[in-house]
Amino acid sequence: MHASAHGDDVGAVFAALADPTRRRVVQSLAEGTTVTASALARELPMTRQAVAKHLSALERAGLVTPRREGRETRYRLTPEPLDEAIAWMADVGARWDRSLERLSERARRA
Amino acid sequence: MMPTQDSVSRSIVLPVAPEHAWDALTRPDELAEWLADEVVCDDELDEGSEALLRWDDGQERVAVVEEADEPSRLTFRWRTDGTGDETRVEFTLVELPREQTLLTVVESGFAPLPAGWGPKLVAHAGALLRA
Repeated sequence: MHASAHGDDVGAVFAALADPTRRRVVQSLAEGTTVTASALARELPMTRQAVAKHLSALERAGLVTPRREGRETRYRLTPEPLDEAIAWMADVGARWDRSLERLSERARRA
Repeated sequence: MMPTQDSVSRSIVLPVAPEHAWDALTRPDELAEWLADEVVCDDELDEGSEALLRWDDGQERVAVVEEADEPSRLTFRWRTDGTGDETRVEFTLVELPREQTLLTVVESGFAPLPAGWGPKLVAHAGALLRA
């Protein structure tokens, strides 16, 4: 995998998680199974509108998935994009490890 | 909350003086030996110069040098062709006794990665999500 292969997706994940409130939303979702915007609003506490906005941002990054159930929408955490982000960062480090090893070998031979 | 860094960082000790290590960082023919498979640049990397880096797997990046302070500091931005991905690479060289150099590379600005979001915090968030 290239460091850049998932750059855009990874960027969306990082951007979604950059906001401390959204990290709290993620944390709340991690503790439960599925949840509605209203339930999250009572728990956090913030307005339902504010929660809905944060959930939309997380949804765009693929970190939460909504499901309609009757009149309400329930959200659940889908953390796979985060794994990708972690892998991408690790890949950047691994590339430097390989490059610097080549540089080091060259310097030793010099 | 854990300490955070919007960057990936590596350090090594090279068994050559900084002046010699500097050549390895700035001469296209030298760079092609360790950083990429092919490096196209008119001259040695210097402030404002642009280099095309190619890898055998087909990847290409364009690097634009921001600072070249021989033999202690070299920074450039590089972007992958065809994507918006651009990061900043900073090399610092510190002279050590007995003709050695401490070389540190920091790659940062994982666009549009906001400040304070580095591997540690992401890993922390990952652990949290799996908790």
